[in-house]
Amino acid sequence: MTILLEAKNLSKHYSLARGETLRAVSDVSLAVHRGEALALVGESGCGKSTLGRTLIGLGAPSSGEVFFDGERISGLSDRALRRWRPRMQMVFQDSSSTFNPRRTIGDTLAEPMRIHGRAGIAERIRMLLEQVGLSSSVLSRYPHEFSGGQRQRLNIARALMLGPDLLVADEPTSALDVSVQAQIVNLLRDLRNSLGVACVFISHDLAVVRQMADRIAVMYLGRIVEEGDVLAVLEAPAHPYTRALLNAVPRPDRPLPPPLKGDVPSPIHPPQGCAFHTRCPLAQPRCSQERPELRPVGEGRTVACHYPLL
Amino acid sequence: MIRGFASRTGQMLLVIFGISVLVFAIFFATPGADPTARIAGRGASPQVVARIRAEYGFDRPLPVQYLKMMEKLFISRDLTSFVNHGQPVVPEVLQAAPVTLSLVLWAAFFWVSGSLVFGIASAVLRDSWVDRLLMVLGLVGLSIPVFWLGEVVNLVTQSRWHDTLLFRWVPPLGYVPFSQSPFGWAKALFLPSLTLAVAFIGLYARVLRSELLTAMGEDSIRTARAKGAGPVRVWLWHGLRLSWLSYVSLFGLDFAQLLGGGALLTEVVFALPGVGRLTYQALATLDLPLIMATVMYAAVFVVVANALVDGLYALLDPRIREGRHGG
Amino acid sequence: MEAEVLLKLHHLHLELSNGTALLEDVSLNVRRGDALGVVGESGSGKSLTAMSVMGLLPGLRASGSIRFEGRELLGLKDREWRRLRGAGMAMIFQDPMTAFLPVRSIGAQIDEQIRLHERVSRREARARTVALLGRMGVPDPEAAAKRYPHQLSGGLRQRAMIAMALSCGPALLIADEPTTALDVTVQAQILTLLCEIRDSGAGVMLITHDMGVVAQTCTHVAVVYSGLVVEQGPVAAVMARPLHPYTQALLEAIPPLDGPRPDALPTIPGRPSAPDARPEGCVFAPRCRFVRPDCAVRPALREVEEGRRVACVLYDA
Ligand SMILES: Nc1ncnc2c1ncn2[C@@H]1O[C@H](COP(=O)(O)OP(=O)(O)OP(=O)(O)O)[C@@H](O)[C@H]1O
Ligand SMILES: Nc1ncnc2c1ncn2[C@@H]1O[C@H](COP(=O)(O)OP(=O)(O)O)[C@@H](O)[C@H]1O
Ligand code: SF4
Ligand code: SF4
Ligand SMILES: [Mg+2]
Ligand SMILES: [Mg+2]
Repeated sequence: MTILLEAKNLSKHYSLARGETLRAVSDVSLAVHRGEALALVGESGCGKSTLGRTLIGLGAPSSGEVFFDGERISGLSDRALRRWRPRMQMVFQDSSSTFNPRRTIGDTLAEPMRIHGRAGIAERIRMLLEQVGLSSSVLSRYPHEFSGGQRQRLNIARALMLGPDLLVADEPTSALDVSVQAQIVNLLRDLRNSLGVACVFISHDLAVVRQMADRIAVMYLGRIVEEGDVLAVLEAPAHPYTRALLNAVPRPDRPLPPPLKGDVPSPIHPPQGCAFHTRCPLAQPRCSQERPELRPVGEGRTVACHYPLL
Repeated sequence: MIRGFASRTGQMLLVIFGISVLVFAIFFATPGADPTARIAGRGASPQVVARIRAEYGFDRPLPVQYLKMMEKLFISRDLTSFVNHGQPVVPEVLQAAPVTLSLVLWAAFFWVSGSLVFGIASAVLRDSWVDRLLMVLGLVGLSIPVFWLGEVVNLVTQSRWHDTLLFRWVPPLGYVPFSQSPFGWAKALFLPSLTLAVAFIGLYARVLRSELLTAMGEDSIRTARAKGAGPVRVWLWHGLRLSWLSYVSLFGLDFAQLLGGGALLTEVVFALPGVGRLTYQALATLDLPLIMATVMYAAVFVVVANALVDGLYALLDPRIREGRHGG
Repeated sequence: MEAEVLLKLHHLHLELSNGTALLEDVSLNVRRGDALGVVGESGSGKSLTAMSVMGLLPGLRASGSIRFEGRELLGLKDREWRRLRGAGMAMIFQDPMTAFLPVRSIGAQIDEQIRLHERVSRREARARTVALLGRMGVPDPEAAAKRYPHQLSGGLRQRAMIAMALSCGPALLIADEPTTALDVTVQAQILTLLCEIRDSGAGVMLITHDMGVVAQTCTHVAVVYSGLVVEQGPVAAVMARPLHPYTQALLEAIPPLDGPRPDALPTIPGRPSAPDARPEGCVFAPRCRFVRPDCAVRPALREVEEGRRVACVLYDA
């Protein structure tokens, strides 16, 4: 498989008032292969969305580089990026805000193609609506006339209009009920199979991630702490944080294991050493002094921990 | 905290400086008009004109003229009006200020209490006939021109029905200083301030009503009710707590602009020698030094009041407090 | 048996003034020491059920019966209901950020609730507040009481919310999606806390759309669909062998966390009918894979096994 998107030592910092810096993403390196689905998981504020946006050039990185199809796209001007836009699209959690309430669905769907001066709009819209499981009668209707699940389908159709190679989906099912979530998860899987589009799938729901993704990257305070095949990682996590996340998922078949103590520390003042050491049940003195680097464990897996579980 | 205060003060000074430059530019540095002649007034003797030119430095570059003007205004405070026979204008403004302050304080008292009563009543009784009636009254109050209302009040209380029991107490037009007779002071200001307050009562009641109704939809109000709080507590304690931010900011700005001379029409109609009336006279006679003085006085008030409102805001809302001073 | 029932909703029906029924028929029981999970899709009427128990829905017409500690609540004067609210029964909400008044410290807000129901001095109220916060696992409770909601993390805020709800020792705690706004690790902390509260003898009604949460914290579950309770029973039994086709479909739609990965998740076609367009017969009929002619008459919620009740013709004898 060839690499489609690659990030090297990517960081994104926000300067706040009072001269403080918020390190939303620090030194992240990752690769997404063609047709592959990579899941970014972690608790809120750990930088998933920021990373997702930075990957496709929405907001310049503070340092580091992004390559798309072998070419560097970080540091390009907005104008130069326009050429790449059709090939990278984004789907957001809140599908209602992506649609202009005063424009018909047909209008909104046609817009990306109109902007990029493509022909055969009507034909493409019809085909995509079919693919996301809606009839073309929706075209003359307005966003508020749809349920959350239908809007999310339309949102996906909009993102696919230009035939992208990469889809970044930021919590696409978080606002949906389980039954609707199942429909969207199935849809995204089908689309990947039929169109071969690669996917960066941002979520905090491990069960959904397991169903959707090939690989998983677990983030904590702006850094990737574990990465690898999704089934292998969730079967036997190597990082204490991954295990804690997995344990925290309420399930019928076992009582809740003792939860992690405390909250995620502020990304403005992240702890020294391993950022997880303030909550880690396995922390040793070394953990608060020395930051563990990502290193390989097992096949195609990496973990950043001094005392990994594998 | 101290840093925030210092930066705030710096900002205020900067704004006041900006306004003073602007006002100076408009009145004294507009091309084609000779400020000397305008200060001196029509038909002034050449000697006077020459003296003025020397005194204000109108034969020197503009920045010097500006500095001279500011010095006369703030430091030596001997800016004099020539239209008005050499009257120093700064004391004049300072004399007028307490009158305006008294008027506006009374009016604020009326409009705050009035709008609280009407606003809360119509929010609680929303969509009932009481609410509709109050809101229509508010709209009427809002749209009656204050000078017309003032004239009508004068007509009724000073001449037409002055001898009836109801209005016999109404003193003749004019002002009575507090130091001279507190009761007389209150009597003299009662009707003018009420007249001034009418429009504000209408406006503020409407604002409060809509803010309160928005607040009532908040989750925290639902929590208050789930705690077992009664309606009075929910409306007056929790509801007001949530809704008076915009009320307060509106109040601060209106209060400041009234102090700065915005009560001009009321003062003229009721013959109160306040800053507004002074401004009115200055404009009528094109008394440039006096205009300069009153405008600067107003600017200082508006800016200071703005800062006070911001401070009050921070007191009322801890989230704002933090945003500014850290924590 | 009946004596220990704390809350009993019987054919609760709630409608708008225009006659649209928002809740059609909600019947459920909460006993002391039980935690009843109320699950269902968005808009099914979970929150409305909770709010009707609290008497916080003026303007909606309720009929049927709500019995709390043997006393009928429907028709109660607001003054009396108010005495119950916060003292006999208390409620916590989804988003603890907006549920607290942003402009007052959380301590002051908890004190307020105590002083609304009991004649105690400010000092005593604060002492109780601090003790409660400590019991809820808030570190340094004295300082925490002085903080404003936005200065606490989501998890601490929700702990403070729970402390406030428990401040007057309610017999029933209603929690409306208390962990939806929280991260999983923090959610686990809060769920553990709710389990402790349940074990201490209070009745808990936990509203959620997450079956996992129910399985983890509750002893019983009621499944709501389009304003009706369609199944009720002990959690373990319902999870192991759901009877109602809707419950079955709901459980199947959750992606598994272990075992083989299915190619496609089972889904429920269509979507719930709107309150003003409920079908005549079984409300689930338009989406049910077992639908048959006699579903056209709405089945009642009946006990089909010891402790298990379901509203579906498949289980008619
Ligand atoms: N005050 C109201 N007036 C009219 N309709 C209402 C009102 N409150 C709720 N509804 C409607 O009643 C139905 C049930 O609402 P409810 O809030 O109980 O849903 P829920 O099960 O709690 O959903 P969620 O999981 O989204 O919180 C919905 O269709 C909702 O739109
Ligand atoms: N535009 C911004 N300015 C300042 N801080 C931001 C901005 N966007 C995100 N952040 C902060 O960066 C961190 C990571 O945010 P985000 O990527 O949205 O997290 P996630 O998607 O994992 O929940 C958070 O602490 C967030 O508050
Ligand atoms: S490095 Fe130490 S603190 Fe960090 S996850 Fe590993 S064991 Fe825990
Ligand atoms: S009554 Fe009929 S339609 Fe309703 S759930 Fe049972 S089988 Fe399905
Ligand atoms: Mg996000
Ligand atoms: Mg709800």
